[in-house]
Amino acid sequence: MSDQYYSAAAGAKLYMGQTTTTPLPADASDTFLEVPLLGTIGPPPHEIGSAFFKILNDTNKRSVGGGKADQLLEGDLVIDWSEAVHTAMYADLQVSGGQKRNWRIVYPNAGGRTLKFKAFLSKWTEEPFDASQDAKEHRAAFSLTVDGAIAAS
Amino acid sequence: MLEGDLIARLIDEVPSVAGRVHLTEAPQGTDLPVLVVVRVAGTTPRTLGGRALFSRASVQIHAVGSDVYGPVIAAANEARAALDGFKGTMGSTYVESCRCDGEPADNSYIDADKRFRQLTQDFRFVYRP
Repeated sequence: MSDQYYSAAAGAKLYMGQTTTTPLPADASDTFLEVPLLGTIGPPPHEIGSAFFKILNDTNKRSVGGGKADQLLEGDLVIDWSEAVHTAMYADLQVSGGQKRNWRIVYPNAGGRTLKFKAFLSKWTEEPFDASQDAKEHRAAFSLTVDGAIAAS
Repeated sequence: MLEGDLIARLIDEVPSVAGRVHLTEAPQGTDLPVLVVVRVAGTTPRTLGGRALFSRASVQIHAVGSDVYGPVIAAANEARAALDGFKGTMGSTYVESCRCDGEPADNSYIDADKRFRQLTQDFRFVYRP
């Protein structure tokens, strides 16, 4: 038995594909830049729809599974407008219908588990400026809406 | 380093102590008044992707004198004017914000005709190391 668990506190990385053509290239054919100053990143959840039913007077219910539920990825970062990736993320939110890109999440585990998927930025919310608070880094929360399957390796 | 840059600024901005600004303790037999700077707390600098974020430090500045109250309060007020609301480069340290937490606390000690004057102010720094 090996101890290959890892920390959820630090080390995960998010990479943004640079190509925005339609259709998008395959992940292996795209160029990726790391999203700098990443604070938190939540891997997309996986949920399958479920329905329950009974046949006549069965004591126990039966169930059937459906398709995957919506997959939304949430994260936040410390804003640096001198970073091209941050300005590109903001610009993506100004595109009507969203700007699809290839994205990768690399886990901090020993093997560098990687999730590869297509998604578009669907939210960019900057913290309010609050003069009553102590000075701190300005952060933005963002969401990525996943389009299609997620490949894990 | 914040402490060194802070002392240099206080030497420049607090004429009442004529350069007598010390870290942690004042030397034996020094002329008075003096300022003594004590770093009482701080956060470990954090990084994101290897890039340093803001650090935080709590610093007490003690204006110390004897007998007469006037020079000591003058030194304390000059120190506060030099630091409270400061934002910018202080030596090699970039200070994002500095604020004084309140009016000087009087910790003077009086024993018959002997008076030891000490006014203490707390400052909170947010800075980039």
